Amino acid sequence: MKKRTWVILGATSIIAKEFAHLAAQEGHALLLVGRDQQQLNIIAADIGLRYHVHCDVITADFAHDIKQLIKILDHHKNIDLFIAHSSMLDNDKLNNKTIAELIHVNVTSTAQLIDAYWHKKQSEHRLLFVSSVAACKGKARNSLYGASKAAIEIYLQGLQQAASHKQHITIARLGYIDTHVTYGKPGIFYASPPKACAKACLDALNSNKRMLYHPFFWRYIMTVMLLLPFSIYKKMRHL
Amino acid sequence: MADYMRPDDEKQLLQILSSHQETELLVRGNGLSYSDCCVNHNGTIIESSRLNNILSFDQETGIAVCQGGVTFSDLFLIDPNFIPAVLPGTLHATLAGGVANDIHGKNNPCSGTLGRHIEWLELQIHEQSYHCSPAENPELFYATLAGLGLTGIIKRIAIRLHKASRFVNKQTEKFTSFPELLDYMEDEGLQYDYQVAWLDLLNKPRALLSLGKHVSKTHPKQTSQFPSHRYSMPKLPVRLVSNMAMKQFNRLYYNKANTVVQTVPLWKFNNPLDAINHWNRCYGKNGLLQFQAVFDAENANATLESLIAIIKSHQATPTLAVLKYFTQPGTGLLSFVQPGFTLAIDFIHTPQARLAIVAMNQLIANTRGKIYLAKDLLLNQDQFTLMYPEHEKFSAILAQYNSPMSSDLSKRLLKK
Repeated sequence: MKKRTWVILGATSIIAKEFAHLAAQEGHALLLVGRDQQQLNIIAADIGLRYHVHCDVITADFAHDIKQLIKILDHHKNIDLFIAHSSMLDNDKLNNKTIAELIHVNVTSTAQLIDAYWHKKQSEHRLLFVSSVAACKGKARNSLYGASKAAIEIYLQGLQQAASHKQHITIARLGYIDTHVTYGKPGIFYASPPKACAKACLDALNSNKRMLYHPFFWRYIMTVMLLLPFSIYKKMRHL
Repeated sequence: MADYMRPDDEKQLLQILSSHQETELLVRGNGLSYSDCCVNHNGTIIESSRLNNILSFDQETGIAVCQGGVTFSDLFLIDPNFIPAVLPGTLHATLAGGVANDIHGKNNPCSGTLGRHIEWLELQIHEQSYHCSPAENPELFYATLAGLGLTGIIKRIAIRLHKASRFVNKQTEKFTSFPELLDYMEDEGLQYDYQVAWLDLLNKPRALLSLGKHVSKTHPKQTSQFPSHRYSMPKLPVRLVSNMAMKQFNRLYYNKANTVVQTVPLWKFNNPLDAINHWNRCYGKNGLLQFQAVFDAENANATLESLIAIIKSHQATPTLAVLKYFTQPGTGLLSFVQPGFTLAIDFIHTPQARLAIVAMNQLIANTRGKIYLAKDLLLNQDQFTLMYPEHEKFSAILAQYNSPMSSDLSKRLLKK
């Protein structure tokens, strides 16, 4: 396998971190992008010491202007893109400011980065977008978050349709993963370890899958959800 | 029930500390100790599994700086020429857990306990962080070594790694008399880097002594890597081990033992059970109990005989018995290790086994030995104070720094 550089957006999240470990284990170089420079440096040092690969750090805030980041990425050759940054907000926390921020982080910045990457001159493109099962159908708790994920999914579908055989996009719809979001919360019947989630993402990328669900059974749960009559779906609003 | 928290990074850890000022806290690594030192009923448990970054490594000095949740197996990734000088029975244990128990390996005469290889620690008590080493805050340093996580949160650790190969020449000697085994371990055995004896306590006295010496030449067909495929024991409704089965197993194990010198990876010599996930499940739902004591070399055979007599009279089933030899004491206030022999025995968890261990604990207390707190569930306060003479100094330091840490073990053994 050719050695490339994986750019990890939102690298301090545990799923992104586990993915970075797996990519480093395969011998790829890494470029970690996130807001928290101190934590990024800690993760980068750890990966360098464990897997003996090159691991760099760029600080960027996806809630603000990311022109600078796009410029830097333009200078790097043969990069792959793992998109894990996101603003996760429930509907009851929304106001003018938080709505603008959620849309900026999850839609505007993300679309700008994808567009810049897709037009980048390199022989091969490989992109993974960390989405959520919340993107399948609007849920009372967090439908704006789900909508923002769905917006990028639809955009990526178009790119997938037009992609050449050297351009691959994988969308990962995640169910419950064992992160600080799910830890200790009631109603979480099964939370998959982030390492298993990262492995599923990597396997999907290596076999050029367009879409994956993790844990896999969420594919069936969401199929049922989409088929449910609205009167029943309405009764499930507290879930 | 305890509350559980699991910070993703050090910032979240500090947030938990400032929001839990009045709570009794306990940090837990991978929860692999057999004792109640990693349980905290009615308190809060902070899991350190995600505070597991290796921060730096200096090839000149061999010093690695790590967060507390880094495991011993992680340390093998850093540099192919370096290994941790002291290895616990499972490499899945965290480094902070190793410090908190001042662990020993099968090479005590060569390398002492883990504490001797710790350059400094960063200890968090409430909102204050302390840099502790033999020179700086020494009283906190020596209280934290073997301090069972009660002095504060071991955030960062600087450990000096040891330059050595990852292969050992393994040799096995058979013994049919325990006095001969003890003599050998005190004398010829010291020529080797590692020595550990397996004892058959279910049949007539028999023992296999495994001796290991580092070799630089590696076996062409073998790698030093940990097995990529690990077996996993499923949850079982019944117990697989029984007195009868273990009797037969021990007979076979002794008779089939290979006494030819072989070159094996260090992990295979030191941590063979690490290849099987959840091996403890073969003990069924009730699990196992372990007894581990250290006692003087001088009367070792008499002590050993008395311990075996207690086990027999209580009709407990010792499934696995392991003997090691110490010459170098631990340096922590509550360090277990002192010169002598250490015997660890796994029991099927039965009421008989509990009674046997209670009697064995008293015997060890009477003979000025010690029970290993990482393994103990049954010691009482009087026995503890007799075995650990520095306990008052330890409690005084906890009081002086107003440590918020607690565990079921601390509530059981430390006087308020």
